[in-house]
Amino acid sequence: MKKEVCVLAVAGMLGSSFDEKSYQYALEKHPDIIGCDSGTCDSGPFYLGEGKPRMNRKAAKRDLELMIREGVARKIPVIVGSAGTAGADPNVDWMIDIVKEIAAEDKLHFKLAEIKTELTKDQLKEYLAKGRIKPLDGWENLDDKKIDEISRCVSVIGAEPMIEALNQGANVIIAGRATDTSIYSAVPIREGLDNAFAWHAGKVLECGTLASVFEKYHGSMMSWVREDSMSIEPAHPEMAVSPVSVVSHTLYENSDPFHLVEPGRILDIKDAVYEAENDRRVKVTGSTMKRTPYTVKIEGAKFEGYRRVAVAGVRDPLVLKQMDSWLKEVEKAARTKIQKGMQLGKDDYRFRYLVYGNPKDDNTETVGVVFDILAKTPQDADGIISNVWHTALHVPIHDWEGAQSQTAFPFSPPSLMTMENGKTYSFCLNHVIQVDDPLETCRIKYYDL
Amino acid sequence: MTKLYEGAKLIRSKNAGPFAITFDIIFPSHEQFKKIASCHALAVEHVAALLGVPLDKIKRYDLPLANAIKFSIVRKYPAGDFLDDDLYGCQEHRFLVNLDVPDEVRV
Repeated sequence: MKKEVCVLAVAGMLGSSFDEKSYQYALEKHPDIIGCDSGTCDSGPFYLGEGKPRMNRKAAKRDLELMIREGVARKIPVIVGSAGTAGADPNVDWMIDIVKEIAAEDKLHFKLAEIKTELTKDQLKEYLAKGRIKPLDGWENLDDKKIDEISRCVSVIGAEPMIEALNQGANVIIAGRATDTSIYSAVPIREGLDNAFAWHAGKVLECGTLASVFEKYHGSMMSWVREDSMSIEPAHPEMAVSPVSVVSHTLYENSDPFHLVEPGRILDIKDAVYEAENDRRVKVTGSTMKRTPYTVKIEGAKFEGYRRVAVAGVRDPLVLKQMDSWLKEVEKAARTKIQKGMQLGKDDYRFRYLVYGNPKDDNTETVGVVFDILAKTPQDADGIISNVWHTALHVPIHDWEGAQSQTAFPFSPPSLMTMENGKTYSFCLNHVIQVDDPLETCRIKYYDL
Repeated sequence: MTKLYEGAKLIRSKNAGPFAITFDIIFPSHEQFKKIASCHALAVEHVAALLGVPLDKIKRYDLPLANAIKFSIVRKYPAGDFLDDDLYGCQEHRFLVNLDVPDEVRV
């Protein structure tokens, strides 16, 4: 067993253009792993549903190249988790392609492991039939019909598949959806440190320098994991963590700040003790970890339709005075037209409007309205949104006599679509799978580059 | 009365996964935290009513080490749902910023 494992998180998110100098400082400390998280479900269900990354390819390549070049030269394993935002198969393919390009351009030779974590509907149905899928937080049980409605599903893997890839001699690992912490706990665990400190360190590292007292440079954070403690320190000498900044970070994006549930483990950090070792480094003791039956969380996105929006400014003080009733009138008139002209009724599409600004405030010059619709086909969506904004333009108020136009549109056409023809998804799973083997929801493939 | 923001270092909200939103109220000192932790305005029943969530969908956590109080709630709509209007859940803390708290908590 190694006495101490040094873990480096180059940044909180791959593709966020981390500070190179911080990274160089970090490398001087001889880390045992160079890691970075590349995903999140924070940006919503689109990226999973569509299998598209949120980050820019050039920016992702820049970060990956810095990691891989140094990792290969110094024989330090490089681990990236939740590839390409959603960690689904197309997102992993996207990143593997970048890694191959880097290897070819920089004439680097290494063993690359690709870990895919997407699950097919058949796999889900099989798990369901075996009674292995359990809902979380009061969600309903799954059934075959609900599974058929899922556009894409990923399993959120733990550290074990990454450890397997390391055991097979991988120098660079690009993993599909994985818990953020498992990226950083894989190497300590492999070195015999499967303890609370490995996971607690992962929790602090996952957002890079966000746990600092002041994030002067966006970039590398380091941790030293031991049998009975861990220490944490930003790589850049001009930056610091304090006991308060480290504890405060356990609050961030975390609903229960005392318990962290990981595949096969639960971490209890309620009684953790945070001590300043010097003016920029904190030592953590007192966290505990318990083994639990191994479960893997699943995330799913369901296709909902094609979205179109129109943005309008309302400025006439007399319209603003009766904004609520005027908008209700717009909705009613638009729905009637859509029914007559397109033969689409209430159940054929969804419609809402959002009002930005306070129409009741006399100092308001413009109140923004976003008309938002979701339809079953792109053609329907185009037709519906045109009907909506054009109706809004001319719905009269009784204070005026004669023809009126009420909405200031900032561009032509006044409607927009979100990305990929407005394809819209929703998160449809909040479940776990009870597995026999932590590797069974993933597929590992190796490339000798 | 004093507004909560006048006694806090940071008040924020953010998704904790797609189905929950978590609220952090961080105080500048331990003294300040102790003063406010027991204040009625931040009782879980009061905050639940303020945020419009039933009592079984909200939890409060006190973190004296971080001088912080945390509330976590179940989202009305999952993040990015058609009816959701705050993808990151990051503007929901508005209900807490101007909360009336006793004058002693002012910094």
